[in-house]
Amino acid sequence: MLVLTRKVGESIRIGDDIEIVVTAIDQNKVKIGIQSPRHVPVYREELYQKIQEGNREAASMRADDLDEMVEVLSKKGRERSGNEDLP
Amino acid sequence: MRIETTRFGFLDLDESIFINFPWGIPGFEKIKRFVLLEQGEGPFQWLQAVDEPGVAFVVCPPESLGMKYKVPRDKGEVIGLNQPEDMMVLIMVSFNRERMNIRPHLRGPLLFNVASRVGYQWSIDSRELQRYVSEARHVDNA
Repeated sequence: MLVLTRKVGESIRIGDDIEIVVTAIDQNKVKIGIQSPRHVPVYREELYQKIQEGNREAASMRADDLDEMVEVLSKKGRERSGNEDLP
Repeated sequence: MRIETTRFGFLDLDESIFINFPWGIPGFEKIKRFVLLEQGEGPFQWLQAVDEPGVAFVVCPPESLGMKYKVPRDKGEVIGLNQPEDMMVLIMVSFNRERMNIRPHLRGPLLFNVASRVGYQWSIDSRELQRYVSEARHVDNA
């Protein structure tokens, strides 16, 4: 990994269209500004990992899982509309 | 084009219905082409990878699970959305058989530009979720 030392207000350029600016430094926190084209998604690493995990879980759905899920949902729907009929 | 899927066998599909995911989907970054496959009754569809037979997600409109997204303009601009009518939002849903638990993946809605057939997954920090997702008034259980 490339490691660079920067001071507050200094920046790093990646390619010709991404700029990363160190905007503030606290004792154990760094505030970073990112200037990038709108079409480049930027994520906090831990959020990216959570989304990855969620997606892998979602991708493990089998066709019969969906059938069963639809059944559970329609049962819930029936229960709900049943309750609405109560005075 | 004939595509292979593990769940539905071989399918002959017109390439014009493919949806381009320029960045893939987190966890599946290399997969750039998907297709939406209808699924019998109910609000669900499969988002099937065109070039990876085993990868498919169950998706549905958030409204069908009683949710509604407020998509900020800059999140739509990522895929060139500037007309609201060109936007479609779908969420992934997974199901845990043991716990009979249905999980909508609220933090990672899929945004589509239906005019240009481009999509990506918008990731929302859990602390910001309330700002963008609300309960829809109309719940459609169809």
